[in-house]
Amino acid sequence: MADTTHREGLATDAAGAPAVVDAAVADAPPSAASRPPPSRLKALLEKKWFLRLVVYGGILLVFQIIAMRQGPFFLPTIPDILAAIVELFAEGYITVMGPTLQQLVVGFFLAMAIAIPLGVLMGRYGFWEDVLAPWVNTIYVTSKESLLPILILIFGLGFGYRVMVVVLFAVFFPIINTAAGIRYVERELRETAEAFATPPWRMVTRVYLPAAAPFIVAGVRMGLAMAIKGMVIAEIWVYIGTGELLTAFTLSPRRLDLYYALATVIIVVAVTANALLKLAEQRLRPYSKLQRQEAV
Amino acid sequence: MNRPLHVKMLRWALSIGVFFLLWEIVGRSGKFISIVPPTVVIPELIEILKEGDILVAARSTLALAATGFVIGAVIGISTGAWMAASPRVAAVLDPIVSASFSVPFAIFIPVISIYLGLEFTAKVVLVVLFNVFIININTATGIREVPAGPKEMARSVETSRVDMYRKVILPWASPHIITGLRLGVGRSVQGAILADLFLRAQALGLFIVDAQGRFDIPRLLAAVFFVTILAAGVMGIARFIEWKILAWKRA
Repeated sequence: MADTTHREGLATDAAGAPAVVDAAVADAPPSAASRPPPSRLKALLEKKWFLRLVVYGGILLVFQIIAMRQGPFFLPTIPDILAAIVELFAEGYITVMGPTLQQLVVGFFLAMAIAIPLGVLMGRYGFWEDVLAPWVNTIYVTSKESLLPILILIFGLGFGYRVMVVVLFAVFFPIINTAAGIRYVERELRETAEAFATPPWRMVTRVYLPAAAPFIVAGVRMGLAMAIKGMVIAEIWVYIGTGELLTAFTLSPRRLDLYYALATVIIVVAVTANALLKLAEQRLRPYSKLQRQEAV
Repeated sequence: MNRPLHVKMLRWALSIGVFFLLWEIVGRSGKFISIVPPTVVIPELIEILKEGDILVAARSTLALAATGFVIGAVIGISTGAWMAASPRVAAVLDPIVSASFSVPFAIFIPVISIYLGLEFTAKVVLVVLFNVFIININTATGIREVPAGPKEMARSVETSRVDMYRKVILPWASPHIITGLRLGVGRSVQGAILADLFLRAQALGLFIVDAQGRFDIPRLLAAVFFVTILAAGVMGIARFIEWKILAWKRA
């Protein structure tokens, strides 16, 4: 059984550790006894992967033990959750995520289509900065959740509502970051381009946007994370789509294994999307130190 | 940046004016039944403020936010400091901290109620989940950026470990930590409102849900308006306190 092998594997790690120390001390030449060479355990403890393996393995082990003692009604075991991931796909539950992701993508792109031009406007022109920044800064920090009932009243419970919630959550980071990126475009760069009588539109597409690209992509990445958060909140609030499924698995009939499986899938999707955009961000990032500091 | 303050204020006033005007026009056009014009919502807001229920509700939600904030601050600062002090701890906790920015914690709402119920404990945990990571990461960054010079100087006069933190590292890192705390205040208020809406509806959450349930649109809009201003106000106060505390840095 998968759970017992897992436990045994960890038990050997723990039991094996002191043995390694003994061996290392015994192997050491007597002359160096006053200052023993670094043991293999110590070397292992310097390794990130080893530390993570021990700690996260330990957490999973505790999870597993609690799950086995309390039963699936309280906490499903890890093998049960893994089996439930397979079940999610086999039984077609996962298809619920289709419309959810579709609305997420629509809302996310809509948010970016609003955010980046607004950010450029705010970064470029003091007037728009003064007019828009207070709104952006206010709504960005306040509770967007409390606006959900109003969005429901306006858009109903369907496609429009969920898309709008995603937009509302996703739009602010890219606005703020784009504006900051445009504002920090180096003066020499700007003045050189202006010296060649570059028309305003070309200034934006050829100078400002490329120079601010790392900032913008960082904003887009945070916007995507927010979009996913907004999607989940929107769906849990009105019991539809993936949010309904998540809630339903915790009610009767309670299927916590399926709940944890679905939660795992969502987390994996969110973390992967974030990692991919982070990669893009690092590629776009020039070597200047000023721009390495993330604008928040 | 370099525009005089009165120009900024004027533009801001213009912006608010245009917003309310548009709201009024859309509200009166009758195209959206759900958008009630501000000339109805503002008197309603004054009405519910006079009733006083919403103020009691606000106090309760803010108390939840404050409890979560204090717990989150203690956990965030101590784990942040620990991560900065020990590369091993950092190696272990880094994946969790960096994942926390993309994980939608709301997916845990259904399951939180199974383990912690729908009451105060569960809500505090949700608030802490919202605020702890931003405080943690700012503390760790702040401490990591303390330059070696002052630390070596302190070590040369045999400063104790406690004094090293109390008199060198923490003061040096305080701008970062305080910024983290300020961001944490915003997250805490957000988390508290979310908790009062999504776990057992109470306080401000109940007020909103109740107005929504009765389809009392002016009351709902007034309540949401109030919540937005309240949250913005709390953030404004936090920002002001940060600005005051960090005055020495600008001098």
